[in-house]
Amino acid sequence: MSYLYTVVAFASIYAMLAIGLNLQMGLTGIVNFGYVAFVAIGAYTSAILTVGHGWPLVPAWIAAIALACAVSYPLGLLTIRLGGDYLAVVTLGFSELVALFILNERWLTRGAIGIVGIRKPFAAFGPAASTELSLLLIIALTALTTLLAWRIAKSPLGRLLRAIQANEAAVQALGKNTVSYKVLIFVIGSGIAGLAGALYAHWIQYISPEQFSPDVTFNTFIALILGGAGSLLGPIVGAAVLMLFLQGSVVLPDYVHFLNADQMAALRFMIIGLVLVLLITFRPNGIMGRLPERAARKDEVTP
Amino acid sequence: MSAGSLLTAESIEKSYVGSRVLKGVSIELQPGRITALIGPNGAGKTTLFDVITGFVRADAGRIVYQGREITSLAAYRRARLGIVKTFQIPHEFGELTVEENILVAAAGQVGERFPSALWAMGAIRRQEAANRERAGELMEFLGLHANRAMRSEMLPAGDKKLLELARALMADPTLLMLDEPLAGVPAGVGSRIMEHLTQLRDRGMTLLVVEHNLEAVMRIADWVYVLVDGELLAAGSPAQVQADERVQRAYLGA
Repeated sequence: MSYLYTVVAFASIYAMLAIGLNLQMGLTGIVNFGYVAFVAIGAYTSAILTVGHGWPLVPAWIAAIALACAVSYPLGLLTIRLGGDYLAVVTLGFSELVALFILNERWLTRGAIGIVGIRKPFAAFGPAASTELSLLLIIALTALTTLLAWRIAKSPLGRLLRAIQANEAAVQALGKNTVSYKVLIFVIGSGIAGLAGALYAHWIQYISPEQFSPDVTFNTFIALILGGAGSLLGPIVGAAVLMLFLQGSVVLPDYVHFLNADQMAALRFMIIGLVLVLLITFRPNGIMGRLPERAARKDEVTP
Repeated sequence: MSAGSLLTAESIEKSYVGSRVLKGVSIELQPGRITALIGPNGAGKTTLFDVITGFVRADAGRIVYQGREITSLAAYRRARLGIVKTFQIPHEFGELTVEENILVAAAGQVGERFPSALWAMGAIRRQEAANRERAGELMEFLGLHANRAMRSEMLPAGDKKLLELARALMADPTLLMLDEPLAGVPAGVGSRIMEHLTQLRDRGMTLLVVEHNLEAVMRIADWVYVLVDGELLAAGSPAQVQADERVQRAYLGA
């Protein structure tokens, strides 16, 4: 049962990550390959403050969000003007920088050893109840994040961000400071990643640098592409499907005897690759995304 | 420079990798007039246009708008002061509907600010209703009304050009800057656009039109600048410019 809880908790945390990334990439067109850096900042901030300095959970989580936002703000100001591919490279570089910092600044992060004994929320209720309540809390906060993203997407701000994605120069020509809006959404997405990182740390109760590899970023991208970037429920559906794949291939070897664990691990990446290729071919906007419209072809005679 | 001009560009210089595109050009725009900027391909028209809108930074020279120097002001700030441009190739927000495209252009939206976008529901709803009404009037004026709910990427090319104009008008321009408003537009839509432009002038708006189609622009312009090879060749009323044999030579390539 507790394994199932963990799968659901991870799916929910990935859904939260995908929602934050969706605000950046799906809505605004900001390609952030360093997304994991803000997850790591959130996780380590909350772990260090609660374990090292005895902070209660809620202020520690707020600090995790605040620090992720505070770090992303100057980074966004410096880099957001870069076009898509360049921004992708710079953000990927930034996430490596954060990874190296965490690995080497042992006085703060305990380096490769990691931080153990991170408190679970609701610990006072006993181990079983605290797990269930923590799971509910994670789901509730994911729902709240969905609501936040929905409000942004449906507001005039969301309309403006979609316009920026479609044509930034044209938005500037209408008198809007596009850079400040892109930085804003970069910071909001990073804050969501920071919260997801903190929730992850307190669920799993032990964090170390290798948990925050670029795989986290790419899994989030996979979830978003699976579910459909730009759609509201896409990130949630995508995260659920991704978790089914990643965790299903852990359980499956018990039942499928002709494959060993290594073959299974290899197979799951082949399957994810195949699914992505099929999806991009047949449903380029994701499972929940809009079907591509048939544009009127020039050679077709309209009645 | 006469005191009454809305905008003056003085001695504008611009080079791209060693080639001088603008060689000290000066023009001024009178309020409530349509000024045309014409010239053969590669004369530097679009560069001068973009120096004025702020999308290209001049190497030297000065731009004064409403008595205020704006030479180094960012493009979006100039747009807020009322210098609003359209693009030669339509830059519609393809995924957005025609109406949404126009709504994006409305200034000072509460719902675009954070965090008020999340909770100021009443204020947003009232402002959206007012902006929708204005957008509706513009669509009516330009004949886009029938396609208001269509995704703008599906519009015919000529209507995209009209949408470009509608969006610029929604941003409340004092000086409307049009980069080849007739390029890629069927003749019928073209004459409609020209008619709209004279109507806007008659309401007191100032326009600068860069155009290739001489015949059309001569009909509506009050003042014409002829740019050849990065230099001002002639300036005057359409009749004066048309009679100028240097202009005829530049255009006929004799």
